[in-house]
Amino acid sequence: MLLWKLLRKNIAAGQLLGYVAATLLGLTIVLLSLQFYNDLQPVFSAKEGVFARDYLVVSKKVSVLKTLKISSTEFSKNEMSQIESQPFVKRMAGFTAATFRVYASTAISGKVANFGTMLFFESVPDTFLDINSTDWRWNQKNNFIPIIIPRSYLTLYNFGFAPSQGLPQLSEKTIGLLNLNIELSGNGKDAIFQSRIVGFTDRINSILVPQDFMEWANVQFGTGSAQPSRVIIEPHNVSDPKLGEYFASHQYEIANDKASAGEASSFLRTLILIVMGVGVIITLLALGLMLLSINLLIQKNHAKIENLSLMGFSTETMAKPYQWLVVVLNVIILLVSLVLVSYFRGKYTASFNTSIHIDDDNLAWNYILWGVYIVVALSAVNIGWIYMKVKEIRK
Amino acid sequence: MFDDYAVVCRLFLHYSFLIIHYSLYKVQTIEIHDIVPDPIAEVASKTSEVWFKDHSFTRGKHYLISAESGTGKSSFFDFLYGRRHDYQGSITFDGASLHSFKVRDWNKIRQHNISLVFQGFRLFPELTVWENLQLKNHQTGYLSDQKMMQMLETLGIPEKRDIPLRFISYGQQQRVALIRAMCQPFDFLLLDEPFSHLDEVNQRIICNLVSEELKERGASLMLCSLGDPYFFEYDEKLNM
Repeated sequence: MLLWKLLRKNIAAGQLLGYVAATLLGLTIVLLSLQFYNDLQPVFSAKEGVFARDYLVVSKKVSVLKTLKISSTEFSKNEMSQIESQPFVKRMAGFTAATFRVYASTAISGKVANFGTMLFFESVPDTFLDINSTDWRWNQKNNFIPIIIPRSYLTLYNFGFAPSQGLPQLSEKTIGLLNLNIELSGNGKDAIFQSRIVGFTDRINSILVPQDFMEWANVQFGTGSAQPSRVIIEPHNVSDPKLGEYFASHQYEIANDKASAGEASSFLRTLILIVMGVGVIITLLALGLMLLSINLLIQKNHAKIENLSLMGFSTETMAKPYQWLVVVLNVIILLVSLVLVSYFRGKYTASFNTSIHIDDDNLAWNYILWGVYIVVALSAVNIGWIYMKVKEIRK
Repeated sequence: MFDDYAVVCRLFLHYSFLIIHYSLYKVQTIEIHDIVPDPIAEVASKTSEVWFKDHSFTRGKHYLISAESGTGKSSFFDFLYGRRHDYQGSITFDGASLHSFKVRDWNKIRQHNISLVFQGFRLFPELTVWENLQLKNHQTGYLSDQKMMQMLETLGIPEKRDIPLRFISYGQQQRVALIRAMCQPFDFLLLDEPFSHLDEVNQRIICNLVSEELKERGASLMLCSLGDPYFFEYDEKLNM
């Protein structure tokens, strides 16, 4: 206590305040960006959502020649294997198109008599789909075909078609409850199946059925197998410039919504990293400020420390008041920073609520833990430095 | 070979003793062997009874070291107190060379074995008289508050107890410095020109107090002074 009374002289409140403010700023930025990154992690990595994993759907350009069927929009086996051999391609698959006719019909709560339409089906291997539904199964016995439609189709229906026709708007859930009758015909046969929409995809702009059903149905009702006219590709890195060059030079088109989403995702990631970097730099500068300030303080109390050591006080004992000071400041900084982070997190969660779902359970111990790590590291550097500087005076 | 072994054993015993029984450890003899401060090695008097001589100081005895200015008496105390190490020759505490002592050892020695009143006192002007004493006494808890108060009363400055040190006179500070030196156990009390600013009445009182304390503790006095102005009895007088 007396030691503290003696050694606290010459403490520059302004410098300490500066340290507290700067470290608080730096730490809060670092923790907030960590938390933000953490919150967006499901969005970055999940198979569903705005920033789904990066797939490209590639097709040939439709030109007059192709309309006149002089040249084809189908990919030949040769072209497929050429694409597959490109270094940027991780894996790829062709779309399998149905070579039979599809007619779907339904009755909406008896109010409208029958709502029916011609449809088409396509399929891709399940591993490319961003759907994880247990309904996504077909087997020959139970006469049921699951269907996936693009989310945009539902939007089209709800905001374009339904209002203009006086039909009810449907949520994803209700449309999933709707039973459809599917009539397949071709190859001199026809059959009726039960069906439901089991999922929606952002990735593929087509009406999808399971691959194994498609293979079976093409044999039953098909009129000859066709080469795929669209391929789905998972590249190693969606922002690889070679990718764009290759497709452009072969006159292929990329359905580039996913590509741009991928770019946005990686841009956001980079942005978070930059902000975090700035936070780290501010924290380090604040640490530097504190080290200088401590140095100055100890130099100003040089005579006192010398006298104390002549009285037989150990370096540890003399360093302790300063070390406590720093530790107490750091703990205060940590606590305030944690409060600030959770406050700002509340703010951004609220503002993103409409576009991105942020899981509240995700309020990770993670960032508290990181805060503790950083503050422990800062304190350790300070404690070591104080000890060194006090020891220097004894020499 | 056997000599080396013996030395190692003795050092080992010595240090294990230091570690285990530090607070009980007493310095019994201080021996100097052919020492002289580096800065005055060339000019130091060959007739000095301290420099270039072998001498041993024993716990319990009183020594007066008379010295003219500039002959290195403060340096001598600085060596014994571990503040400076720039001397030739060797000084030992019970056979252990001071050069082998670490910072940690000196901290212990300064808390338990050797007490020194500096010429400049080295008190803390921003603390009160009482706080200055407490700061030292807290290290070992050697004196009771009562005893410290009694000393202040004996030396005639009890009313200065709670006054910041910077507001009291030089002579009064000198008395505080002396009481502070008593606020710890010691085997050797080193006084460097201690009572220069006190009148004869006060000198008598303070000498009595110190003598009593020394007797009680069985400790040695080593006093450096220009002449022999004080009221102590000495076992040996050395001319520096």
